[in-house]
Amino acid sequence: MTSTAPLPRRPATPLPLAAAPEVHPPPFRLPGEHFVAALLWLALGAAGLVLTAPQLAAGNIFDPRVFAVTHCITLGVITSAIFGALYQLFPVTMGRAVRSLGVAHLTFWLLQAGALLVVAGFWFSSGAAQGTGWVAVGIAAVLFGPNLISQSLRAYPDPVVGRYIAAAYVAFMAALGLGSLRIGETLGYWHVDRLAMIASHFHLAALGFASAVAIGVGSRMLPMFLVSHGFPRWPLRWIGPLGGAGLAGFTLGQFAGSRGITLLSGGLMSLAGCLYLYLGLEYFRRRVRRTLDPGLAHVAAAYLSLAIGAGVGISLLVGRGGFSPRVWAVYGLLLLTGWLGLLIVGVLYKVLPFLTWLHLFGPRMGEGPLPTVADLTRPAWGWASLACLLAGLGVMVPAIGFGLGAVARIGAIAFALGVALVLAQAGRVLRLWYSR
Amino acid sequence: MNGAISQELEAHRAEAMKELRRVIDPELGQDIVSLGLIYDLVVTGSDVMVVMTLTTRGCPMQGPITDGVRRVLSDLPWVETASVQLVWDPPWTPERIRQ
Repeated sequence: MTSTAPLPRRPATPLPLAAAPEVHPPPFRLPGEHFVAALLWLALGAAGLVLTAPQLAAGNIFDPRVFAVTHCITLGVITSAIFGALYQLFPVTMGRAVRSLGVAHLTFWLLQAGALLVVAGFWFSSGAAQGTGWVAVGIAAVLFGPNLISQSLRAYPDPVVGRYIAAAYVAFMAALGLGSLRIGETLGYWHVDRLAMIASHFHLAALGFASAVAIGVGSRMLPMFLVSHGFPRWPLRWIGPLGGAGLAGFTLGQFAGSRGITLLSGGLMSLAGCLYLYLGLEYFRRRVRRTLDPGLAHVAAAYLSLAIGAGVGISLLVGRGGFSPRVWAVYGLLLLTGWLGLLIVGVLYKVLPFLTWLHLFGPRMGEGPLPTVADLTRPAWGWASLACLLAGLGVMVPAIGFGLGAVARIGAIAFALGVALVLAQAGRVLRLWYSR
Repeated sequence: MNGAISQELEAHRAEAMKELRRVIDPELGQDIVSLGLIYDLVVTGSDVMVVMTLTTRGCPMQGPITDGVRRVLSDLPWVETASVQLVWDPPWTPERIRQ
């Protein structure tokens, strides 16, 4: 007895079975500890921003405390969040599991200890702390590669994403390598052009590493959360090669002191950035969920920061007015806290409640009425955090640009208030997780 | 006789489809039938096989949703085995959503 009468929307084509390998995500503790660390680093970074905002407005971008806050964001927030997201993403969406959970936990602690030492080393001007910290971060990075990144090139079913992540890892190692050049210089082993080193190091970290991961992982995650369909895939094939070539050329141009190479490669990076902004716009434009929740609104705000940051970057590239540290400070702020910071907050607003829902209610699916993922959060807190973060950036950016230290600090306080709300929201969700 | 069997199968099929509406996508807040994720439902005696997709390939909800499908179908008194075949071709598109 068989009934196979077609359903109203039965597809006309044959139905091959899904060939996705069964790979289970790691226990929540692994990505969870990374996400919690990233949020704590965000709080520390926001506090540091309050203290150093006047320095930024004064154009003292080489102040060791400014470096401390910068590395709070890059190593603490961004790298912790990226490592955690990759540990979670790979098994579920890429069909590849982390090789060793033990090594993964080890890289976490090495990264945290290293970042803490680096930040403290900058803040308290301790070369020994910095050196030890960089060694720990370096070991964490080296271990992370074979444990997870080598899996990315065999990622199923989307090798493009795997290539972005592998390329990001190369940029991460290159950024660390350039950082070590500076250590060698400090110890008197060699001389490097400080501006060239910092400019290259910054772009490799912010664009080559963090943004490449955001592009690759985001190409899976954002359409999933927005329920976007019909967006073009071709920009993904160009953004990586254009951005990668641009970044390599930019680094070469900086160290060779060639304005021509810098201009050309900066142009390639700008083109890649524009293509990515177009793709991001398409993700949002072609979404089925018309109403944005607070998490996705943070992501939209991140794209806006990227667009403004790209504009500032292009003005720095083509400008002939000489070195302008305040504009560099604005550029760094827009890319690190605006683009990457807001993006991470937005993604965590989606991922933490989602994983908590899976933990609490996933096994009960179909048993009866269950809360939705949105029910686990307080949207009002999410909107309030977005308002504070945007107000903070909106005040800080012009204040730093015009050299208004006190106003920049007020903006930083608003930003810190937004971060406090993000932490409160995350804390609420995590309490739910541990409630059962 | 055949007509009676056919009627019974259709009734089972309709009943199974109704049960599938109890499986709600927690992110979108909509059931999997309304979302158009069910491509086919094959009833063979006391066996039910659901051919379905997800909104995104590699969706983290894959396990809970397919488990939920098996669970709600197993609740039916006439079902002995409930299975799920996950397919990606043709891919899900928003046009499949039924409000």
